[in-house]
Formats: sequence, C-alpha cells, structure tokens
Amino acid sequence: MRGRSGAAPGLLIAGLVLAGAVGALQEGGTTPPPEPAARPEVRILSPQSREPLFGEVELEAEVSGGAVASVEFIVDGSLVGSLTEGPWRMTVDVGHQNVEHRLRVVARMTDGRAVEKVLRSGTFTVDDVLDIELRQLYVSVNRSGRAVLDLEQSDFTVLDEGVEQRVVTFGRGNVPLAAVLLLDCSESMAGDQLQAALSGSRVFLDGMTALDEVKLVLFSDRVIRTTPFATDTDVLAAALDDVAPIGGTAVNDYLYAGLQLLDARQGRRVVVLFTDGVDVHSLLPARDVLWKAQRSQAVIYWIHLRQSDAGMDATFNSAWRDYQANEREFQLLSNVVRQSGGRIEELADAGQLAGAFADIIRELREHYVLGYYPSQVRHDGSWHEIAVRVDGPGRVRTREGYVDD
Amino acid sequence: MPGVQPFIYSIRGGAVALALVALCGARPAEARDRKQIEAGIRATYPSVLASWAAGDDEAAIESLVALERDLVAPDYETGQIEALWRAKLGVVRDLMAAVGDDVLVPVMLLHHDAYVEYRRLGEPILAQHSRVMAEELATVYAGRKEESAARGVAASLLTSLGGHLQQGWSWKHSALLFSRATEIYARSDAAHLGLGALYERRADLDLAVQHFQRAVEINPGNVEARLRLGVCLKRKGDAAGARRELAQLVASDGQAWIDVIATEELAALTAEQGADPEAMLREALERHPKSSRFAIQLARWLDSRGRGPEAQGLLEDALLRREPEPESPRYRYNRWPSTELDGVRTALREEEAGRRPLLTSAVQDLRDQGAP
Repeated sequence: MRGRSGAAPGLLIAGLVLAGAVGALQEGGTTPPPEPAARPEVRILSPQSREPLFGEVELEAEVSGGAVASVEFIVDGSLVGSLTEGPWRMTVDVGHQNVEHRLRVVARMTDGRAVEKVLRSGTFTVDDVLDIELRQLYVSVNRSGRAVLDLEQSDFTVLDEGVEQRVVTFGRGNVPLAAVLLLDCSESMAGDQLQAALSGSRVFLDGMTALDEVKLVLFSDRVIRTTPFATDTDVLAAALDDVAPIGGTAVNDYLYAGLQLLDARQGRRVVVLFTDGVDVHSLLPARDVLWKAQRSQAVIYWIHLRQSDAGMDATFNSAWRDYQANEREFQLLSNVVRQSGGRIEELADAGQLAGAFADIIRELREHYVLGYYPSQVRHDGSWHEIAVRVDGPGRVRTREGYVDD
Repeated sequence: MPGVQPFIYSIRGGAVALALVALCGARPAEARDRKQIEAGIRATYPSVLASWAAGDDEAAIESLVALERDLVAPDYETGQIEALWRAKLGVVRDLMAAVGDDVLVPVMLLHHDAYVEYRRLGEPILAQHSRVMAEELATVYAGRKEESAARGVAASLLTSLGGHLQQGWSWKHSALLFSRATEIYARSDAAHLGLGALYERRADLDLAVQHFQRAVEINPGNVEARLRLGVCLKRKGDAAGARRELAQLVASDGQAWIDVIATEELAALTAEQGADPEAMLREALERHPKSSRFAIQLARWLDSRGRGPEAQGLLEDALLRREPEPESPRYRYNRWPSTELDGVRTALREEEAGRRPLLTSAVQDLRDQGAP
C-alpha cells in the first residue's frame, strides 16, 4: 500500500508503530561550558528532535548570550516567521504528510552575530494503512443568475461514478481558504493593465478572513516575487508594491507549481490565475497541468484579459510551437479550469479587473463545501466522474471528477 | 563597366522607398530639386566619409543623418530619394575609381550603421534607403571580387541586416537577405542559422532542420544552431537525433542559456521515453541554482512518481528565493538569434577597420580633384 501526495484530511485506519519519537534529544550536542565572554546560543524548546509533526505545531526557541535583534523560523527551507521580540514562539501548519521536516532557527544578535540550531522531526512507521482520502467538493448553486445561499446538507446528492455518496462534512463559505494568487507580470502588462491587476489583487486580499491564507506568486517567464502562505494582508499587500513588468508568460509552469504547493495545505484550496496573454514560454505542456489538476482538490479561477487580435496572432507564432499547437494548449488549459470546478472570466478591458477579483472572492464565500469518502476506491488511476444535484431548480457547478490513484 | 548592372539594381531598390513615399502621399511645399540634392551630396558627403574613415563613427553618422534629412525631409518625394541615390552612387563610383573596390567595405558599413540609426530615430524611409544602399553595395562588392574572404565580408553585412530585419519582424525581407548571403558565400553559418530560425518560427521544421544542420556542418562550434537543431528534431519526433545534438550541449563550457535549454529538453525527452531524468535535473539545479524551471521540472517528475512532499519542498525553496531570477532561457530562445549575429558584426567591423585607410586615401583623391 503506498502513501499518497496531497495531504487532505484523511481517514487512517492503521496499526501504528511509533518509531521516531524516542530519544528526544536535540541535535547539536551538549551545552558548552561557560566561557569568559558570553557566547550567543539558541536552543529549540519545541518541538523535540525526531518528534513526528502534523498540522499546527508550536515552535519555540530560547536565545542566550546577548541582546537579540530577531529570531527566524525556517521550516523545510521556507521562512515561516521572523520575530523581533520574545517570547520566541510561533505556530505553523506543517501539513498532514507523514514526512520528516527540517526546522532551522536563526537568532540574529544586535551586535551582528548570528547563531542557529537545526532540528529534524521524525515520522511514524506505519505497518498497514487503508488510505481513503476525504474528497472535498466546492459547490456553487445559482438560480436565475443569483447564488442560492440557504441550502442544507440534505438538499444535496453527491454521485461518484454514478453511485450516491454519504456526505460526511458540510460547510458554507466560512471554511478557511488556502489560495495561491498567480499574477502575470509580463511585458505585455506594462502600464495601466498591471496597475489594474495589482489593484484587483488588493481587492481579493481585502476579502480575506482571519483564517484564510494566501500565497502570492508574481511571475512572467520567471519568478518575479513570491510570498509564503500568509494570513496577514498587510504583508501580502506589500508584495504588490513597486512591481515592474518584464519578460514573457509561462502559465503552465507556475500554475502547476501553485497546484503542487496547495497539496500540502488545509482548507479550501484555490488558485486564482490572472494573465493577459498566451503561454509560449512554459516548459511544461498543458497536459501536465491537467494531470496535476485531476489529482488536486484545488479549484482554479482564471481571469483572462484578452489581447487585441493583432497582438494575439504575433504571440501565438512562437519558436516552440506553431499556431495550432498553441491554440490546443490554450483550449486544454481552459478545460483544466472547467474540470476543477472553477471558471474563466474573460475580460476585454483592464478596468473590469477589480470587479472580477471581487466576484471571485464573493463566489468563494458563497460556496458550499461537501466532504465524502468515496465508496469505490481502487487507486488504479481511473477517472471518477462526479455529479452533484440539488433539490429544486438551479445550476450547480463543481469539479467534474478526479483521478483515483 | 562591370558594376553598372548592380547599380541599376540599386536604383530599383531605391524605387521601393519611392513607392513608400508615394503611399504616404506627402506633397512638398518647397521641395529641393534634383540639382540641389546632387550639389548637397557633392558638397558634404565626402566629409561624412572622411569622418568615418578617421574613425569618428558617431560624428559621421550624425552628419550623414543631418545631411540627408536636410535634403529630403519632410517631404521624402520620390524624385528626391532617387536623386539622393544617384548623387551618392556617383561619389562612390569616384572613390572606387581612385582606390579600387575594397573602398566599398567601409562605405557599406557606414550605411549599415546609418540604417540602424534611422530605425532608432523612427525614420522609415531613410532607414530603408540606407539599408538598401548597404545591401546593394555589398552585392556589388561580392560581384566584383572573387576571393572567398571578400565575399564573406559582403555576406556578413547582408546577414547582419537580415538579423536587424528579423528582430523587427520583417520576415520576408530578412529571409531574402539571409538567402542572398548564402548565395554570395555558401559558408555563412550565421545566415543559415537566421534562415533556420525563420522556418522554425513558421513551423516548417524540415527546412529549419536543413539550415541548422548546414550551419553546424560549416561551424561545429555554432551552439545556438545545434540547440535549435536538437529542439526541431525533437519537435519532428526524431528522438535519437534530438538526443545526439542536445547531449553535446549539456554541461558544456559554452553559454549558460544553451545548457539550460538543452538540459530541459533532454530531460523532457528522457521522461517521455520512460527513463528517469532525476539525476540529470539535480545536476542541472547545481549548475543553475537560480532557475525555478529546473525545480518545477524535477517537482513534476517526483510528483509523477508519488513523491509529492519532496516536490513541494523543492518548489517552496525555489519559489521563495530572495534573489531576482534572471531572464529565462526559453524566453530568450523565443526571440531571434542574436549572439551569433553579434559575432558576425564584430568580425565585420574588424575586416572593415583594415580598409578605412583606403577610404581616407580615396576621399583625399576626390578633394585633390576639387571636391570640398
């Protein structure tokens, strides 16, 4: 039985052999003998070395030997927090994968010195697992163009491969979001378009609630700027300042990366992609993004600002693909979005951008979130078609299915 | 006179500019007539050439632009452009009579650079006039010289102009110039590279491959031609051919962007064929730690093998890098070849520099005969 990527809340029926949580000694040896001049030292108080970590984990450190300017907590290579005053403690969500994590704490002293301590977590050894992943469906229901917001769990019927499923979790738009906001900042965005996109992104951030977390990825044919997943809208909004457009557009590569990063997050997983152009610089073909999207639980929204016909023609003739191949890529990417249960917002004018971002955050708040454990799990890579019905009239939108592997 | 036919050709080239003028529909208020233009050229063009010969390139271009604008702007009448042609060709004929055909080399390069300057200034008619003049002088020079080196110089000039046109998306004219360059000098690998890139962009992969192969045969060190050959072979489904070409470029000591794309394409090919590209990608990440693309490509591979958490760690690290990422090689590839053209232009300038004393001597000869 193999483990799986995409750590959604899972049902583990397991015989667990706790192997890693013994010998909880910190790495790095014993405390040195006192020295005449105070030597800064950092100790990790929590978690313990080799302790298996899941979900929200409290990190705590102790620093001695001088005045501290800041303490940085770095988990698996990513800076998750930086404190400038004690206590040197914070909480971080490490996800629900049964994997080793690497915690690094760096203390910077006011006199310029820096010390650090590294700790590795442990993992559970599992001798048998029946892994049935909770499938979460984000469902929007519309009647006569208006969202229907007063439905109850009993109003929904979920079909997986045509077989009715038992809905075990039910929520509305208050379920926290984990969102990746992908913003195309390529040269073609120069001027008012980029400013409108950045303003639209701020509108999206303004719509976040306290438990939502967002990661910003400003990209073109390269990474221009990124943030960690963060809940602080001020921190996120600061990343939208002073952005200069540059380069071409590589949607597939960064959309794939966004979906992959969301696998390890909790809550409703969402990608909001904004781009004005056609992808002619990606390394990954759209079929790779489709492969990922069919295994991801994330819903994708694509805000697409159309270029003029003349510009489109020039863009489509790339050295990498001919016109028809680029057109096929575009269509396939559109299918990826639809299959995920999201939608494409086609805009002709940058002036519509703020409204489009606002519509998406509002729509996310109006989602119903239905969870079920599929009754027919085969892990054979087969496609499971999903259908959701509601009592009474109404247009229901959710993901079209998923790959069972 | 052996050069007469090409000169007529030149005037035909000037007619293209004239047609453009006609399309603009400009009417002169007080247009300078043919005699005034001829007198203006006779009076000032030799001093422009003297500045160029003396190595004061900036001043030469500046005074040529000032002179030509003064003579034909703002009306750019058909007759004015033709008069400009005839007057300048008359002077060039005198220079050739004085010191021989090699004097054409600095003169053609002067007009090559004037073309670039007119483009920068947004002067389409005088830009075209300068380009066609440089082209035709190069064609005349090649027609009158038998030696391979001389023909190579002419071909280099045409290739350089073809490259400028390519960058400006004038595909047809660019293709014509590259073709003329290969006709004049069959061993111009840069011209074959330029032609191949045009066919590649049009997805005419058979012709693209032919030209890239020819470029590589002529110059095995032309790494961009080899890279594009490998990419086109992969697009054609010739996996073995693509692998052969791309593998030669991976981790070579040449240009970093060539290594990046060669590795990306080779790794993709390896994965498509069911083999494991992980080691290749990890080595590439060591060589190019700033590239988020290798991290994405490796993450995609790990993910497909059920190693999602590893893929996430890799991406978190790659996407949170503090340093700005440089231009992606794939973006560079999607523009037109430029590195090889830079090489061509450098070589051309070296050839031309050796002939500037001839121009000095020829201008002095004109002055001795009464020119200003």
